[in-house]
Amino acid sequence: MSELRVVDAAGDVTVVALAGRLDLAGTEELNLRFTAAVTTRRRPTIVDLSEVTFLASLGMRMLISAARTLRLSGSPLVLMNPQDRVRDALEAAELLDLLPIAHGEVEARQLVLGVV
Amino acid sequence: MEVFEGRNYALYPGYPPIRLMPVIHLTRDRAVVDTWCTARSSTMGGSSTTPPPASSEWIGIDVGDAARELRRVSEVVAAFSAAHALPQRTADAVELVLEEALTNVVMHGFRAPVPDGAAIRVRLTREPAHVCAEVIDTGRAFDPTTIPDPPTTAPDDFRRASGRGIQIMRRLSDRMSYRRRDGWNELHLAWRCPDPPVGTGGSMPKEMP
Repeated sequence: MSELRVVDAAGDVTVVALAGRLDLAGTEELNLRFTAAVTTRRRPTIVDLSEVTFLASLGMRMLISAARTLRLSGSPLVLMNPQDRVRDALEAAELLDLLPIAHGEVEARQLVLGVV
Repeated sequence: MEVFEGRNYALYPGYPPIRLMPVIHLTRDRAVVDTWCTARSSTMGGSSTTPPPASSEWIGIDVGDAARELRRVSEVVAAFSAAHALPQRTADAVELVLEEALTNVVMHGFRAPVPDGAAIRVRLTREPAHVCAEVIDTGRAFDPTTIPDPPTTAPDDFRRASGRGIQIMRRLSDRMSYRRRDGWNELHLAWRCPDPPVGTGGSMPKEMP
C-alpha cells in the first residue's frame, strides 16, 4: 500500500508526505494525486520521504516530472529525510543534483525558500 | 545425473564443509546442470538446521497483472535474502535491480494485447561468492547491456532525467550479461557476496572493473 498525505497546502511552502513503496504499483496508485497536489499550487514544495520504503525509477520519474513543472514557475522541489535505501537509489540514478535532499524540516524550508 | 561425492564439497578455513549441489535448469525442453551452489551439510558437522535452498524456484509472472506480480517478486526476494542472511544493502540492490529489469520487460517487451504465450520468469541463486538472478522472457529482443547511461544531468536540466532504470541496474549490480536464445531474452545478474556473509553492514555493490 502506498499513501500520500498533504501536510501543508495553505502556506508559502507546500508539504506533501509519501509513504510505502514507490514501485510500479505504488506509482500508478499515487501519480495523479501527487502531481495534482504539488503542481496546482506552484509553490516551493517539500516532499517528505521518511516513510517511503522503496523507490524505483518510475517513482523517481514521478518526482522529476513534478519538479520540472514547478521549475517552470520558478519553484523548487526538495526531498526530505529519505531512508538510506531510497537515498542510495537516487544516488545510483545520479539524481541528487536535480532532486536535492534535506535533513529535517528546518533545513528543507531553508533549502526550498533559497535561504541557504 | 552422475554425482562424484569426492569432489562435491568445498572447504573454507574456519567453516564446516559445504556441500555443492547442482542447480538444474528446467527451462523449455532441457534439464541441465548449469551451475553449482552451496548448501550447508548437516552430515559433515555443519549446522543442524535445514539449510535454505540455494536456488529459488522459477517465479512465473503474469504479464497482465504486472504491478501486483512485481510486488510478489519483491516478497520472494526478501524471503530469499533473509534465508541466506544477505547483507541488507545487497538485498536492497537485488530487489531494486530486479524491479527495474522486470519493469522494462513488462512495459516494453510485449505489445498489447499480450500474446497467449507471453512468459516472464525469474530465479535467484546463492553461489559461493555471489548472489545471482536470471530474468528470462519471451518478449521482443532487448539487450539492456547495450544501452548507454544517460548523460550527466545538470542541476537545472530536467529534460533527460527520466529513463534511469538501466542505469540503476548497472550501478547496483556487479555483473550484467544478456543473450537471446530460442526466442527468449536471458538476462543474468550477479552481486558479489561471500558465503558465509561477512561485513553485514557492507557497502553498496560497485561495478566490476
